[in-house]
Amino acid sequence: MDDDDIKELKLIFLDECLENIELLEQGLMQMGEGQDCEDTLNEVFRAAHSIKGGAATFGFQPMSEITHYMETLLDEMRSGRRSVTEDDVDLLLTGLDIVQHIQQEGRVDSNADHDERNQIQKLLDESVEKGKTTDQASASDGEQAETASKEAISEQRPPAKLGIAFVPNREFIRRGNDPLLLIREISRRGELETVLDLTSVPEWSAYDPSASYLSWQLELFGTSTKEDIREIFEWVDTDCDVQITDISPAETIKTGGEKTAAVSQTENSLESVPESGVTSQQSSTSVAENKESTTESKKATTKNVSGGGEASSIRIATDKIDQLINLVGELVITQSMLSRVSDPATEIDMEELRERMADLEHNTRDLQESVMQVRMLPLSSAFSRLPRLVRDLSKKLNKEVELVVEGGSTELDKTVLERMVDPLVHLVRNALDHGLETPDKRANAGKPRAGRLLLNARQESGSVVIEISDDGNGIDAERVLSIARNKGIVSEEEELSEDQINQLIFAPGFSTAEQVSDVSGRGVGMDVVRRNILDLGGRVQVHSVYGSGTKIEINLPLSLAILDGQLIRIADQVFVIPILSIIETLEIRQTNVSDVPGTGEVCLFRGEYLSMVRIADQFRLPGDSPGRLIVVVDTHGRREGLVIDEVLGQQQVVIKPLDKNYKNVPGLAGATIMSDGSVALILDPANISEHSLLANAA
Amino acid sequence: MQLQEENKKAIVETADQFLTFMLGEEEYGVEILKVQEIKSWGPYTPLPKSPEHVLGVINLRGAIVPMIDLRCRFDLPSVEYTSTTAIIIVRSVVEEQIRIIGLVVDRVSEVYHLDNEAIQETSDATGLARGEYIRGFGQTEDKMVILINLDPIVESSLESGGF
Repeated sequence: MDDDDIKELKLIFLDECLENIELLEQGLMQMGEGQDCEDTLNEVFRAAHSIKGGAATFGFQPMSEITHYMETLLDEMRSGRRSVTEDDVDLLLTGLDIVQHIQQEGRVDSNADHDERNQIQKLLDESVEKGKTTDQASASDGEQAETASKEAISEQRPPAKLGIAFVPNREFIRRGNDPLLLIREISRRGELETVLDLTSVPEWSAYDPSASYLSWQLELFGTSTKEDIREIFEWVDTDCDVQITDISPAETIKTGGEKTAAVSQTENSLESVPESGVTSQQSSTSVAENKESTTESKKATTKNVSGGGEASSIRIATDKIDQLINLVGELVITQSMLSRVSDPATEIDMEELRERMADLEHNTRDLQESVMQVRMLPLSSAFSRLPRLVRDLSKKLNKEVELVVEGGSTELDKTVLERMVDPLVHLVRNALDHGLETPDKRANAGKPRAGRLLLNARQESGSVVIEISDDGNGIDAERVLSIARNKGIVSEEEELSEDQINQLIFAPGFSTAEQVSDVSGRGVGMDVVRRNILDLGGRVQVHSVYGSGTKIEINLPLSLAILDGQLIRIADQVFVIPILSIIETLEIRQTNVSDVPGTGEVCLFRGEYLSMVRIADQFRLPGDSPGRLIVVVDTHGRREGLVIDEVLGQQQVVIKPLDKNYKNVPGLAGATIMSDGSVALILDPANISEHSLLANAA
Repeated sequence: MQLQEENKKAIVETADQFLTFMLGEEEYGVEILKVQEIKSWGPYTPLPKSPEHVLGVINLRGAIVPMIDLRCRFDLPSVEYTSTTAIIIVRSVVEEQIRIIGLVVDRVSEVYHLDNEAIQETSDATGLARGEYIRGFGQTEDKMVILINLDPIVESSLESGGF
């Protein structure tokens, strides 16, 4: 296997690792809540075991080490030798954090949290040892005969560590031998560690499936002697090379130079080998393809270089793929029907042609929807981290919190989802820190001691709504306003409605926390939250009733690739405005427009003055633009009026970035292709006004 | 095996071929391997807040492709776009990324085969060079062709101006 194949496999491992980490975390959380443990424990153990095995195979030494300790503790729990305690769960969760850090860094030599890791490993080890002493105590009571007898044997002969080099020759499997049976046999004699040596596995093209290429370095810690082990290999003596050495006192094998090391159970490594073989076959075909098209491959490499950091993968449910295949199948049928109907040799049946065209339209739309589905992931994958966060934080803040999550199955575009994780985490932190009161305070106010944090997600027409609501203290409008005045965010004279005051929590530099804690209070969070949401083409609003709670409502587009657009005309050019940012459209009457020196034109809209942006002037559009209409858009929580000439239809448009072949243009979110094949530019309301502010200031 | 050799030979041969185009009276050449296709003149969408020589964007089978008016880029007097006006679609590498760009020229001329001896690099011809944008001069049987250096031209065209 060449380096690229390994790299690819490593990426797959890291992906799977993340999945296992999530599984582990969920499982551990359940255990912490004292739910029925047995199934959960098994699942958690399997997840830890997979991480350990994979980590060792790909040389993530620190990762495999810490998971090894975690696994040991979990194994004790699983076998019922110890009960699950809160402290242990905490310990395991902290260990898991370290595993996740290493996973995020994704480097073999990653040594994130080195000191912490050592400490956790020590604690895990101690915890296991503590459990053992209780074991031994009970064993001496004569209750656990097995343990006792085991100990008896070990008293007879001091346990030794044997190093076994097991190198089957190529004919080993062809002669009907099974290395797994042998290794299993050895494993019965004590504690066995195996290191799989893959170095003699040839390139795929030279691979002979019936030949054996694997060899093992085994370490047996037990009471067996060299002769005992020799006996196991007696029958296969001629087909393999076995060397047994005594390597006690205990010392782990240092994985030698270029060997691919696998500190995992034998079965695991054996099973994983054919799999990796298959993957390498796939990647070698793709290499071959690349070689065939010289210019194409060159292009691809350059692209990969530039986009290297962004590369990510997605896991797709098989039924989604099956659906795509079905639809493509239908499309092919419709296409062949169409070419038959339109055959120039026969007379064209217009009726049937029309019918087939309708089919084609139907197929195409279905196909588009299904392809978009591929990028959609359920919100639960972002929500799943929150229970852990709430648990940790509520402990830290001495608050009692009941977290309720609804609508986790609502789906969102992968990119949107990934970029929503941080804002969500931040909002939940805020709700816990600022929103919910301490149990005593709550009791005094006549509320239940445990605060309630509700996360709700649902789809509403073309967008996804996420609500984060708490039954805490709500926003103290007076206090917010006075802080905002102190910090100069709002001038003394400005009069604000209660709703406007509430939105102030999103202003840059605003924080109500009297103390800056490590939870929150620096006032950088909420404006970043809003920034992120705006960047995704979404909106965020806060509703609050002082004394009884706060609700934050986030509106997100379903997808970043497709947007619901309002077509408009300015001068002779058609533009697209994202519908999500439009509040309403109104006619300009001379009576409600005035030119304020220093601020530019403003327009009275529902008792509020809006600054007006004349796009035709800003973009220096050729042609006449009388500008009779205003589109009121919401940007950064501020409203602005964009002056346009005509409102055309609404339609879904596919966003094409401008910087792919050119660069980003301020005020434009991209371009799209209209049904007549022409290009229309998509306005970015947020950036248009930002620029107009600058222009006005200058 | 033989086919591969032939392919190689074909690439070597095309490597010193140049597509030439006219801007006024002058004939310019661009390496043919950088040319993707030639399109006839048609409607386009102007881009706001962009330098003057960036005319706008067109739809090239679903890709948004910016067009650079080479006359404007080379500070030549502008002329009206006619039916012979052509868009040469080129692939240029800017910031390690392949960009597809349309070059607007008066008309497309010929394909010439120019080997090393027929090309005079600008470094030899002092005083004649227009900075880094001109790679050199190619001598054909009866005339001289200005060979442009595509990537720097495209790169500076995308950078300069702004708004």
